[in-house]
Amino acid sequence: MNPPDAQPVADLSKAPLPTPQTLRRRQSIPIQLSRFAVFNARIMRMVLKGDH
Amino acid sequence: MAEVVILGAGVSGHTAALHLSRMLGSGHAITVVSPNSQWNWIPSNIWVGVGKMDKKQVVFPLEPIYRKKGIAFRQAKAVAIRPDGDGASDRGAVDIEYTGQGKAGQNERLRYDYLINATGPQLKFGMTPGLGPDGHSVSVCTADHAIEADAKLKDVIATLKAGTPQTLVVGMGHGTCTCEGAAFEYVFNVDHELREAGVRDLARLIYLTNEAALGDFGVDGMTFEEQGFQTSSELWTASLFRERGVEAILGAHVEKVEPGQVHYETLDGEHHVLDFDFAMLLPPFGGVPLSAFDKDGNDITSTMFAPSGFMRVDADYTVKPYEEWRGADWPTTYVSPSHPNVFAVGIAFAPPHQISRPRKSANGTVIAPSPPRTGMPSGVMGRTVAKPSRTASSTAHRRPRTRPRCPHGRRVRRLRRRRAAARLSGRDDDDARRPRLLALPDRTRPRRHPRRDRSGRPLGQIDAPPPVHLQGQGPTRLATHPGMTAVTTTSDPAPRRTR
Repeated sequence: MNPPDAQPVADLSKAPLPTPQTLRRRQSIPIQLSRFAVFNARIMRMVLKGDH
Repeated sequence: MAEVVILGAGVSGHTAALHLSRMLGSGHAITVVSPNSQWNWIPSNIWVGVGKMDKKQVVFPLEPIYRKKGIAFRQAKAVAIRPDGDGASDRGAVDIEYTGQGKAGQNERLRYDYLINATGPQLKFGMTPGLGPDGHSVSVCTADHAIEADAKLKDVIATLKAGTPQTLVVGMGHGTCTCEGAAFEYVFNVDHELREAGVRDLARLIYLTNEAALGDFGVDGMTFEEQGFQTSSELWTASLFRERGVEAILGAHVEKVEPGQVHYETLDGEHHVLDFDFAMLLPPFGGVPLSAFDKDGNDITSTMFAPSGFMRVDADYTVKPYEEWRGADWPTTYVSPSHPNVFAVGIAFAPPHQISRPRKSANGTVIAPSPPRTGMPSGVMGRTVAKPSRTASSTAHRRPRTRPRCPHGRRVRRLRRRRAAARLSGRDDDDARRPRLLALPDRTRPRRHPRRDRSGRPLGQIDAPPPVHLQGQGPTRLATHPGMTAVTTTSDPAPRRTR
């Protein structure tokens, strides 16, 4: 029996956590700058080609 | 000379206006009607809502831009469409009511040859009692709403700094909301602000959503390829929530919001009450109130518009089960089926159905995310209807062909179109068009390694992956509710290629 104020929170205990390498990549300015450029190029490609 | 009237100056309306001004050139009239004098880049309101951007950074005045582009601007709201004209003229007309430019409250009837309805959403806070800035929660739907949200967030942070624990809730204010992406982004902006202020440990941050699973985003989730493997948006988002300690309540329909309390129902039919100190809950959307009349003044609103208030276009509105939904159900030209010179784009057009699987709670309450129509597709729609083949410039400004026709040109173009369609059908949800692999007879089916055939087995038979605890962290402190389906790290079996 759950207490009345118990909330049906999803169990995320099996969700994977980032590795230390991933955390380092997230804070690396050169990597993030190149990802930013690639991401924007991909979005621009989608915008230009996104048509019916 | 053609007259084009565009209702709305959001992403799709503004895009259509600028493309038309470029494509049509002089000799044609473009008029934009918008009740707001300023354009708001709505996706950046999530930054205004945490104080990282000012209002002036996300808005700009429309009139100077349109003056420069030779586009007429009426700061007014459209109230009625007369697509067949009226007693005075057979040309279509739209009735507008001014909201600014020194004419507030005055009415005018604009004639058009082509009409683009890009009126966007009506924020329906009223569908949930107590929801919204006039109720007991905040929103980031407009720049002003976001400023209010930021002020309340700062109050909560000040309380946290005084050592009092606080509960912050971010999410969807109704079971049929859309824009889950905005709430998702905002909850992590709030998490970042709390960490920067050094008070994250005292705050309980909860994401309350109508999505049945994390990463659904109203599109039934997404599949990505990363380092040679397919992974799901559910996995990515669950990872982020766990890493940042944000709790998630899924499949929730908010019933009402009271001061400091949100009442909601979950898919299992249970009703819950959640106490909060700060709640940013987005409202459901509907079409703006717009009536339609025929030439004799008879109301044809129900013909041109769906019951939700969105305009019907060239989509397939046949009611069919989720399993039969196809990408081809969605519109291609956004033209009204009853009037070939009327278009609806952005949020203003009526979607044929949801994208995410619709669900009902055990009590019959619909808890189904509506299809999102975000900035990029809205801009594409604006350009699509502005194309010369779709509106005025198709007949007025077609340049004469200077090169002789290639005898094989039509065949080549048809082949290209087929190849493009084949490529696209592999990426959208049109399962019927996907190339399917035929099952091999048992005697020729290769034996698979027991640990390598997991994606080929039914989902229920797949062993749960062992929990991964990196960086020395143990299991999360989040509790499982017996009525909720736990978020799993396995996605639907991917189509397997065999040789």
